[in-house]
Amino acid sequence: MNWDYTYQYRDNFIYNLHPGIVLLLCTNFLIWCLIFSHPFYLASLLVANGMLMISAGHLQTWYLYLKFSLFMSLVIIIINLLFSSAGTTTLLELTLSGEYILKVSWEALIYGLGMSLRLMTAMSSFALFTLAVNPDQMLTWAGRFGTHTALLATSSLRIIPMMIEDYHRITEVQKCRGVRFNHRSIRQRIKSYWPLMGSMLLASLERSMIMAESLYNRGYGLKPRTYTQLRRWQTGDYLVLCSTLIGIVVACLAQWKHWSSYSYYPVLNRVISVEILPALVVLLLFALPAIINWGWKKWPQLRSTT
Amino acid sequence: MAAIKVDNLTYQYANSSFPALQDINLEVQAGEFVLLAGASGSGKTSLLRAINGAIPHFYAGFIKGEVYLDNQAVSSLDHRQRVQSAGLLHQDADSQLVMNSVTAEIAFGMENMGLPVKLIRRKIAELTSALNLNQDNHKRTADLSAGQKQRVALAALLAMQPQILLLDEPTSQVDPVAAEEILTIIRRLNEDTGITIIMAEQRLERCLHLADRYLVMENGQIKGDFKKADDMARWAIENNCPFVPPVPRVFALVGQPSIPTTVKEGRRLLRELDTFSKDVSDHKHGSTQLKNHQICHPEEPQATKDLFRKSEILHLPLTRFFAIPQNDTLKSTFSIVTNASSVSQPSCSDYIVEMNKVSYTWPHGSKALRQVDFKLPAQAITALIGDNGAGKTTLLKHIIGLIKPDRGSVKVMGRNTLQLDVEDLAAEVGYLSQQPDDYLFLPTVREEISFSRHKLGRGTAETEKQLIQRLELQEYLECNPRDLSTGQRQRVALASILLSKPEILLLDEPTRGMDYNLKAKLGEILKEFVQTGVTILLVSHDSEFIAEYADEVVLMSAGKIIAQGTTAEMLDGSIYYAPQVNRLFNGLHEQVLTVEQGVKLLKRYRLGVNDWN
Repeated sequence: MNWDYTYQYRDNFIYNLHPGIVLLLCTNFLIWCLIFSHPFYLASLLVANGMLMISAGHLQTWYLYLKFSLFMSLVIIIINLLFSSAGTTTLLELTLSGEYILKVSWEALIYGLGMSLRLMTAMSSFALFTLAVNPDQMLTWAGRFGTHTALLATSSLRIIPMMIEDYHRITEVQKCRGVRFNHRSIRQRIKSYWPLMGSMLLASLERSMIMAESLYNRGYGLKPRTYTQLRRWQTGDYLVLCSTLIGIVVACLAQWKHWSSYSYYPVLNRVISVEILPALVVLLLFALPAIINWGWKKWPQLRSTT
Repeated sequence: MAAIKVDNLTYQYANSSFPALQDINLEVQAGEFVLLAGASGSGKTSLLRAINGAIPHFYAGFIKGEVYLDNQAVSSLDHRQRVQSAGLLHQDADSQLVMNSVTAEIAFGMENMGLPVKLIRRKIAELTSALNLNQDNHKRTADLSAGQKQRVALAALLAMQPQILLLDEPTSQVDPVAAEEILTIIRRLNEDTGITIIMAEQRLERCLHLADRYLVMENGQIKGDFKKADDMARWAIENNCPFVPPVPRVFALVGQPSIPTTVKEGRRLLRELDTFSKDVSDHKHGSTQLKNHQICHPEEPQATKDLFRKSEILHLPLTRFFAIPQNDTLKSTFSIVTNASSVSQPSCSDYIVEMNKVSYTWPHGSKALRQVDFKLPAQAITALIGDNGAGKTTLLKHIIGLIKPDRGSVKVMGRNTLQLDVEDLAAEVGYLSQQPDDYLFLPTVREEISFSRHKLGRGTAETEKQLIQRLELQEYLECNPRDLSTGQRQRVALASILLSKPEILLLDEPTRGMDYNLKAKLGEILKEFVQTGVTILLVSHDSEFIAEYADEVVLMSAGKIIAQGTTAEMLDGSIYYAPQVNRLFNGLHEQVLTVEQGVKLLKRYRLGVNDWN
């Protein structure tokens, strides 16, 4: 197992946050990256998320997530370049088989990059969620709102690390059976990966069944329940909660004023300075835990207060 | 009053075409320790699930009959009552651990039951002490060894104070040391607390002596119900049933009236047999030197030579075991043996894999292999033994090329794996991983088995048919492999690997989930493979299997190879890795490793039967 993908306690501010706060931060990143379309805002979300990842001590893992996202991004960019004809600034024009004209536009390229930023932010927020949230504390905390909610939250915490682990293990086994995954032809590559996807899906389904049986056998869902690991709210949690809520207000304002909206087609919108400032504020507010963590490491007395 | 009463129970899983349990009638008294034996897929797990209430509350299907716990029908119990009545421990600890840390895992069930926090903390402290988990209290469950995980899962179950403990092959995935620890805990629980235990197990040699009662299952039915282990052993021998561990098997096969179930009982019986004791005593004092020497004489009947075949082939230092006469004739006779052994010593060119000072460190920093020098003899079965985490699987992965060494070199058939892809070696090196499920993705067993054959272009339809029959998979050919039991899945994965018949076979725990019968069949297949030029390296915790079929044994610990030698050299007298038969004769007669050897020796010394045929 590659431990880098799973939760492992580290002594820093982000790891000591309440699981609910980290959940709020991550869902916040995920929701806003879906709402925002302005590349500047998407970039600010990605930078803030990256700051949290680095500050939590996961630069290398973040890099691995980004590397995976980059591959997907490349696919998005290429598909967008080939099939989107809404852009007006033509970079390249090719006539294929007499009739079909392939037009590659500047707008399609930037749109593809914007979508890549969106994907990378979403992946980074998943990474932060799986790495920095203690699954035990999450199950206990979320269990108060209903067993199904808790199960959903815990399952989503485990799903990415487990799927990564499954992927590595099953790929190894299938390679040993002579399956080649590094074909040059995309068709052949898809053909090789198809059974792998099947195996991963079956493994996930079976694991869900086994886990559900284990939970059932251990009396999960019985009421009333007691808690031994209930995490209490601390000053640091309130501080991050406030900054995130203010960030959300700023983001709502930016969205209401259409500063965070961006039109890629038919021509790219011009970026005006009034749009940039709220993006920077959002970045600072959402990245506040990373800044506090810096102080947390530097001044030990801050630890006792947060 | 029976603690458990199963009344005419028949059950069929929703997605299955045949019943998993058929007309089961059973009564278990409070405090009884019942051992449940049976082949993989015989219905052991289903019976435990039915007693636990997971069938039918969790697993949908057709059910007839009823299970009663303390005279209350399981179907009428609510969730809380069911959980408190019977706790089920699965064979795979990983799948049943739901929390991230050890203490959270143990507390989880008690929290669900709504126990007061103070009581939960007290129980955690007690259980971690009782199950020797004090040092691991604050560890992540993912960081524990297989044995530790199983102990945590047991602690978590016991924390809920069930009246009945149901154990589904709890030691199948742990090394012998950890298995011994777990079984000791289970025995203590039964003796000290009087908890009712039903334990399903394939490897009965570890636990036959623990139980008060023995049930044998076959095709979803209880075929045998015995109060004494020797009754079961005798019945099993008479009915050609494979569920007899080596020690009782040895005695049952020579027709001994009372059959011991443990090594201790067996040794006591051996000492009671005057002829044997006298013979051994004489042998130790050298008065039977000539007689002993005749064992190695070329003119001795074939069976006698067979008995000590391993000594000759595996170049045992015979002077360790026999007082060698000093006259010239006997010296020359003895030299025949020693010369024979020197002939069989492999030369450098006989090694098919050579690892030279190989070191490997995992990305998270722990060292997996440290300066490993290893040579794999060609056309032989070599077994890798050692505790969990010793580096055995990592070593296998280096040979197939899945892992490239940080330092040193690995040469497979003269080719450096650093310059090769795994796919390049796939046709020549077959690999069965610890998790057979990773192989299974096709809709039917038939397609799954023939996948590697078609992919690698090796093997024939005829060999496929034979292999399917020998691994007893013919009736499942049209089933989805995912619907089969753990042991059956293991056999499907194994068949698909064996079918491609590579030059080198790497098998990681190939006997997991297999009964004695299937293990014997697998052993014979592997031996035939070796005779046709295949080299086999297997990782196993199964000393009995290794003793029967391996030619060489390599012991690993903490990423290093500690010792390497012939099977007899390595297993004879070993504290943890010696097979049961060897323990039986330890100090009385050396180099006796297999049931066949044990039977022949007993016949000769105990019964005075000189009919070696």
